[in-house]
Amino acid sequence: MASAGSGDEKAAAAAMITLISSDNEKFEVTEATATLSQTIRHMIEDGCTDGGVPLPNVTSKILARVIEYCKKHATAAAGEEGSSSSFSDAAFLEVDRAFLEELEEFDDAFLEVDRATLFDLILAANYLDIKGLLNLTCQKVADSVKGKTPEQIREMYNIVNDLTPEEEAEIRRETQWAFE
Amino acid sequence: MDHGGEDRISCLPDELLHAILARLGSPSSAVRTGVLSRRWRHLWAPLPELVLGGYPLDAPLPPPPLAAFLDAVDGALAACAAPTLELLYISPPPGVDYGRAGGGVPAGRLEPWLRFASERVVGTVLLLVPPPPDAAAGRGEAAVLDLPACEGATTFDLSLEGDWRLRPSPAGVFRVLTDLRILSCRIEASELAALVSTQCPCLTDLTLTSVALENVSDLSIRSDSLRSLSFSVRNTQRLEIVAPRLEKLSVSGTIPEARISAPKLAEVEWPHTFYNPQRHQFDDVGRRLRVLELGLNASLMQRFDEVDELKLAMFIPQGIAAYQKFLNETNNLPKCKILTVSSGWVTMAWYPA
Repeated sequence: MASAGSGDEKAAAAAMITLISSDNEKFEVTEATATLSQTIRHMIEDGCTDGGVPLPNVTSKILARVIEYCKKHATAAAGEEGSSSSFSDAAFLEVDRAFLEELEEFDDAFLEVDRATLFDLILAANYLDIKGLLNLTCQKVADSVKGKTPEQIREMYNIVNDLTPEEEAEIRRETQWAFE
Repeated sequence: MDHGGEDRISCLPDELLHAILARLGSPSSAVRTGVLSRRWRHLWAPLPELVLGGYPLDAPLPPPPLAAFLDAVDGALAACAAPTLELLYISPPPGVDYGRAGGGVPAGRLEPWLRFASERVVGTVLLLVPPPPDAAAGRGEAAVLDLPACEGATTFDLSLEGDWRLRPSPAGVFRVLTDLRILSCRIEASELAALVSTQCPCLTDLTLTSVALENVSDLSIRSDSLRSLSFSVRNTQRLEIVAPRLEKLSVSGTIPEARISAPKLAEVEWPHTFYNPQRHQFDDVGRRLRVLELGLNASLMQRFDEVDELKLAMFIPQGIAAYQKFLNETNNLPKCKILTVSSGWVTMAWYPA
């Protein structure tokens, strides 16, 4: 929508939305960027964005990161949602492939954050209903857990084992195959 | 570690932890998280079933176009939030017109189903694989479908339509698989042997129906766990079975040579199949059986002295010589408690007084 759309879409993209973080910081973003969040999209559709969109669950630090993600992905989303017919154009596909590679690099760099920030991003992505960001951040956590022993996972994420030794032994017995 | 030792992950709502567990890519990894703490104990718990397609009993509607069905499956698999599943069932509705749908479904469209099964199922996988596109058949070669190891599956039932070559992944193990049924495909003898003999260490029941080896070859099945084998594999030149726990064996189709080592064997079904005592050896098999079911190969019963239940389908060929052979073969029945003799439409049974 942002770059490849018709005149109407350009007008829509130019419309600005104000997002307000929990610590009352205001962020001006384009509608194309904001609507990567389904939550905000619905608010816009319902016409309740005048005077800004308060996001009491998201701090300014995290919101800045989320907006950074959305800005980068808004153009990609426009391509995906624009129409599937545009994918039949070979030239478009070439451009698209290069762009997707760049996007992947961006995502990798974007995920270079400490664990606390990663969990804040997951919660924000969930609250704002940003599918791509939720997928990305959950996958990052899953990858960090993959192939680890329960002891390693507990240590990595500070999980306190409140099972009695008997309970733990019982669970291991019930699901023995997974530990072999 | 970071953030002052706070356990942030366990504070996530269930739906987000499910989303993380579902992305682990292996059911055993998900199951292992059950010992992390009380909070995690049941998080991985399986969804009872995901049933896609099949026969809509209460809806006499025409079946949806194949493309719509495939899209629906993709959508349902993508939307499935459960970290693990007890049953995955996918079957295109009967009556789908593959011709109209471009002749079939390419492997690339089906492999995500198998990958999903390998990543999520901790129970039963039932898949009916639609035929490949005509293009592959036109070149006289089978379309290849890769089968990943499903480490959490206990039962795997794979029915393939059309001319598929099934290619099991050499990596990975079906760790807990006890029942494997494969209906109708081509497969390399070495790959089938490896699948059964080394990649399924807990396999007890194996049914191979209308399977064909890629080339005429020898096939070796060695399994310490196998209890029941139903074997219908074309292009088997020489079949070797070494299965110390095997109790039940059913063979159909013609196998020029066989060597069977199965000391616990108690039930043998060998109908409509050529038998030659010089070429079909039962090593380590006792002379007593619970059940023996025979057809064209009546002479096989002379291998056994005592059979509790003998089921004999009589095929008396035309001509004096053939009749003489039949009489010789049936001259010396093993001692049995129940004898069932069938011929054509008539079945007669005698029970000892």
